[in-house]
Amino acid sequence: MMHSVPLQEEITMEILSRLPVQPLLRFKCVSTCWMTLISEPYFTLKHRNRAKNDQNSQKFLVSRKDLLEDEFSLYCSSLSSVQRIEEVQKLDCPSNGKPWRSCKLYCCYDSLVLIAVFNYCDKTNQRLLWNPSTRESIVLPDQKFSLERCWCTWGLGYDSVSDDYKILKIDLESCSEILALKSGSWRLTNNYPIGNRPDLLCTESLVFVHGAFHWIDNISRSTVTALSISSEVYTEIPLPEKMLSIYDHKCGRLVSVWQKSFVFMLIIRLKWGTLLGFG
Amino acid sequence: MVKLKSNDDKEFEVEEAAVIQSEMIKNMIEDGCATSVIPLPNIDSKTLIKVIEYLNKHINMGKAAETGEEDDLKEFDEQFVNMGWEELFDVIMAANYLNIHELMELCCQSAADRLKNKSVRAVREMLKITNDLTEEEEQEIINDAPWAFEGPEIDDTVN
Repeated sequence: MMHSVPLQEEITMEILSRLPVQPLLRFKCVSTCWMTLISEPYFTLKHRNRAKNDQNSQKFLVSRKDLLEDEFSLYCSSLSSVQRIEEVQKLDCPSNGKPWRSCKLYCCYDSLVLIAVFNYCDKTNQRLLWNPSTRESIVLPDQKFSLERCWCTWGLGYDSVSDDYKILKIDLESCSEILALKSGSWRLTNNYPIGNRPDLLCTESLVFVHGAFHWIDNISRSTVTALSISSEVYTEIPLPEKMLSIYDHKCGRLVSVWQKSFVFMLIIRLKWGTLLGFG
Repeated sequence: MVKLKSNDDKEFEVEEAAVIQSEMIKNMIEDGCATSVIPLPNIDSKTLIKVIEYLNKHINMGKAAETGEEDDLKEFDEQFVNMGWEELFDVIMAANYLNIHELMELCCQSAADRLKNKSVRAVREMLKITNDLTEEEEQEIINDAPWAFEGPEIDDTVN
């Protein structure tokens, strides 16, 4: 007879990688072996890749102002067209116990969300990187180079070369700053070509696909500018003429890439993704 | 037909089309190593019967989609995993050894579904795991995410 239990580590990992985040955090308490296994980067990666392919782990993330309480709350719900009320979940916001006056969702990638909050009591502005499923969050350091008041837009992506999440902030003065989470501080990257200034009216956040951040420029409105997250090199993608005419009718966000970005921005993968700390 | 032998010396004949869902046996056949009986020293006859039942049902997975038998297969799968813990783990170990991807998926997902809402104590008991964490270590994990240990859905029963 073969021995059913204890299970081989390989099989334990197969089973655990199919669990949602909450029981995983709980099961760290089962034994030293389980705690080590669940905390391993390899396991995190396995879990994240599984969640990426699992429709059920993708959710809408919505910020809403509670009328009576004068506070912002965040909710998530499934992407299914048949919405059941119990699937709508109010999220525990990262708040240090203080209510927010306003909250802006910039963008999402994997299980991470980049948000800005304006604190009610001490009137401070903070930008946070937040993992709703583990309820971890970190406050981003203030950017060093660009002016706070300058109009800007943000992107969040994963760099497989350095195995790190990176946040890009670009403003209208051609200034681009990158924050690699492992480094913990902002640094300037190559200025984008001056003619490729982003059209902020149509750019809520930068679209991250195929390892690059993308935006539509606001002068000719005929190109998409892409910045590779790994090499930090800019490339230009001309838009087909047909799309330009759509853009002229003030429907710029419906242009294919933007339409996708809209969904992209709202989808969070709620199953896993350890929020990386600094250092 | 391919002959399989369990570790308690029982022989089973399985159609080649069914048995090649096992990557391991498929490779053996391709390498010409499956001319006589294939001994499976890690699998007992009770488990092997279950595995063969699955292989025979899933023999024509591709065809099922065409003929609208998907629901039938789904129902079979649901019934199939309706077994005790020990039995389920035996099938998982066998599926892992024989490298039958779909069966591994099905059984691991079933195991995960059963564990999902269990308390830490219940999991230890179900899987016969001895707790080797100190009280301080345990408290530290709880303090990191106390919300993961609370909730009406958490089930302390062992079944």
